[in-house]
Amino acid sequence: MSRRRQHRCTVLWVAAAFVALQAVLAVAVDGWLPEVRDPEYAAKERRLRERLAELPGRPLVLVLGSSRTAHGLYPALISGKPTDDQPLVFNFSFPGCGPFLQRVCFERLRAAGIKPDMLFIEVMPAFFNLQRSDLLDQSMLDGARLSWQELGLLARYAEEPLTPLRRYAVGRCLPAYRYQAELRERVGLDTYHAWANPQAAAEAIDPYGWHYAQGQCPPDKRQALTELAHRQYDEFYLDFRLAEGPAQALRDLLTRARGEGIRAALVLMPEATAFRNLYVPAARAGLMTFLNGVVSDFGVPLIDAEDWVSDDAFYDGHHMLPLGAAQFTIRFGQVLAEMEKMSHPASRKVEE
Amino acid sequence: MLFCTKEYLFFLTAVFVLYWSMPWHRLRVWLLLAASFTFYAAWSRELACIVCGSTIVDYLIARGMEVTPSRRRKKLLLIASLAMNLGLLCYFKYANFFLHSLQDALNAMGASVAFPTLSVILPIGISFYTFEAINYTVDVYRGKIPAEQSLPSFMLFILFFPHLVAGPIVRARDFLPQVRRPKRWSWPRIDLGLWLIFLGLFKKLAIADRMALIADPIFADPGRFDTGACWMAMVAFALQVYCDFSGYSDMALGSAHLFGYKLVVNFHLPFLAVNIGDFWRRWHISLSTWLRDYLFIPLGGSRGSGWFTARNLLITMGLGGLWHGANWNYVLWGLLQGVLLIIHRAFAIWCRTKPRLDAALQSFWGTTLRIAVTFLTFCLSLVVFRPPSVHATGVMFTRLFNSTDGLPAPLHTQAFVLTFLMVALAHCAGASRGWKRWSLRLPAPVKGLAYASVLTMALILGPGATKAFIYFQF
Repeated sequence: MSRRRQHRCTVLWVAAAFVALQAVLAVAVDGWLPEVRDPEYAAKERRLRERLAELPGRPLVLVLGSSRTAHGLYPALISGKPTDDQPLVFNFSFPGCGPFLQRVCFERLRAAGIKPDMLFIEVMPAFFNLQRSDLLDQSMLDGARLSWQELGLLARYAEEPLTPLRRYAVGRCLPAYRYQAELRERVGLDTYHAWANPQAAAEAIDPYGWHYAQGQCPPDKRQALTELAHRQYDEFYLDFRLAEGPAQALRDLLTRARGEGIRAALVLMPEATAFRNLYVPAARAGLMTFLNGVVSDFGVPLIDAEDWVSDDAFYDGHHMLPLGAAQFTIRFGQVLAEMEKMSHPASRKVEE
Repeated sequence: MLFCTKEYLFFLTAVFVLYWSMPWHRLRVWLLLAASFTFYAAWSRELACIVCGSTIVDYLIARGMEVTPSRRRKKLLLIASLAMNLGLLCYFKYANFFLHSLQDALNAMGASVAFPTLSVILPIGISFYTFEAINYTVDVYRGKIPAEQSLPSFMLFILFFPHLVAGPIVRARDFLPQVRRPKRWSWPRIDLGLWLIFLGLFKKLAIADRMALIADPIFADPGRFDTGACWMAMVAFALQVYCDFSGYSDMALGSAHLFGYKLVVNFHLPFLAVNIGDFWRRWHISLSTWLRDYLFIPLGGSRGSGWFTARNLLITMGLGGLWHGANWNYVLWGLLQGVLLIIHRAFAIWCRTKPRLDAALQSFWGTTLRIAVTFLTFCLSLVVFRPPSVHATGVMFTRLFNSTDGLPAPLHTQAFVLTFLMVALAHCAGASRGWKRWSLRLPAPVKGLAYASVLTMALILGPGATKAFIYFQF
């Protein structure tokens, strides 16, 4: 082979080999390395399995929700201990987790053989409100977390899921770039000493899935965060136009739960007075019409916890500080205790 | 626009496609000039205009030098060029430093003065293109090269984007003939260019930025860390600064090759240097040869007595240190390099009188020892270079040589050891002729896979937020 031709072949082989390497990595991430694809979910599932192993045979109560629930439900306060027979409550909520991701989480858990006895589903109104051109459920969804099959599921609920699709495409076309931190973590290269772990704050999740925030929030920071929250969400309180995709995802999740014999309930999470007072009556009525329809169609209870927590227990008007989490969780535990019929789980938690 | 960002990838690709789709050489030169201006203007349009302005003045001065028969007028023109280039450099880079140093000195003597701080933005790469402009006008003055007739060609010599902001410092006699020569598509050059870009990316992202995770927090506050962590940070910074700068140089060379231009090699396995003199022949070669040709030799070089040579070395290296930045740390570091060169020179002369010692030092183990000592000396000298102040340097040295407790290094030791071994192995392979022959004979698919693997590893190992290149600040 001539020198010129050899160099030309090398250049072409570089391109081919790079594409091939990315393709192999993409297939691996999609199929065999779910903890690389979605480390947040993997960390929660790992903790849930640990709790199930600690408390075998207890009824499992799973709470699926957004960051409001992730910060607001502190299950260790009400979950069973080895010495009693209380149900095991686990907070399976993530920041940005809307109806679609709740559905995905449920399917993943079922595929992993984990079957809850009861499912609490947070209904965050903004996710069901078609107030912006891009659905909140999709704009907050990182498509790179999804597998190919889950992407197919997304197509059912969204007409133009451009944002998650774009993120999925980046994840699959350049997995070495998109999943760089996750891959390093997987092979043990990012082993920091505890004091210097930059992931520590992000992974501040307790054994029951609660995302704990700092106990106090200085007034200036609280004000800045509250202003940010209002900039992000105020528009959703001014009008309500039902977003069909997320509504269908919620209905499908409830259908799946009913099909599996899992009892379900809907939860409206607490908000500070300033947010609650923002509601225009028509917007409130629109939301309640939708929720009441779901309640009557599926026979599930709706827990309206919007005013359960005092204003000083939020750090931005809708995410709770530990004090708020304690207030909410104690009342949640009381409601849970009233919702009997949970004491005789029919199925095993982790199916063989 | 950092070389390791998406923006640069898009920019380079666009310029590359346009460049090779143009059939006319002059048009290509104009395209590269426009691209280089765009590249610099991405930081600051005003500063890009200043660079262009000073370049045009240098062009005119050199033309003037060539046409004037008067020796005295030539000299005046040279002085004008030097005054403009060094004046701009001093104003933008050193004005506040000199003012504050003068203020501190006057205050220390009992006066009470407070000079205002000038609001000056440092033009990126000013130290590099100033030296390029100086080498051009000095060489024209000396009659070593003719003044460039074409303004676009001359402007491309100064502004060519691969070397504009952090070198290598190119010489007019190397670069200008390349601008004149029409370029033909060359697969070997494209192959080499890609390899250098991937290698540079790997050095920058996978090594330099990772080592920064160790070095940065410890040098920022060495008092919090234990002795082991401080030693690790010192060596990590040596690896960081080498891979950061040589990675940049590799990417600069690679980018230039894609357009058919060859820049000077800036690093040649510096950690295999057997003494400090050898080190400076392998480290930042374009700067050290510039300092040699335009400062050390004009000062008299080593043609006089030992004291005279020592004085010249101290002046050259002290100014070389100051070139790195407006901070006393850099001046001290430069002077320290000068002292080390003087000591080495004296030791080498003394060794000549001890043939057995000389023979032992030339043996395999002697050479290994000399390499280790040189590396350690360089690492220790970086303790003067890196910390934010002279005080922090003192704290770092105290921690290094007094066993003290404190926090461990941020990253576990194995990540550091693996990186160190990788750099050491790469140096050994680079020095091995067998490796070079073997790598040249590799079949295209294997080479292609190796390139792609290096690029993939660079992407995986690069920390999320890319740090700016260290030498950009110089």
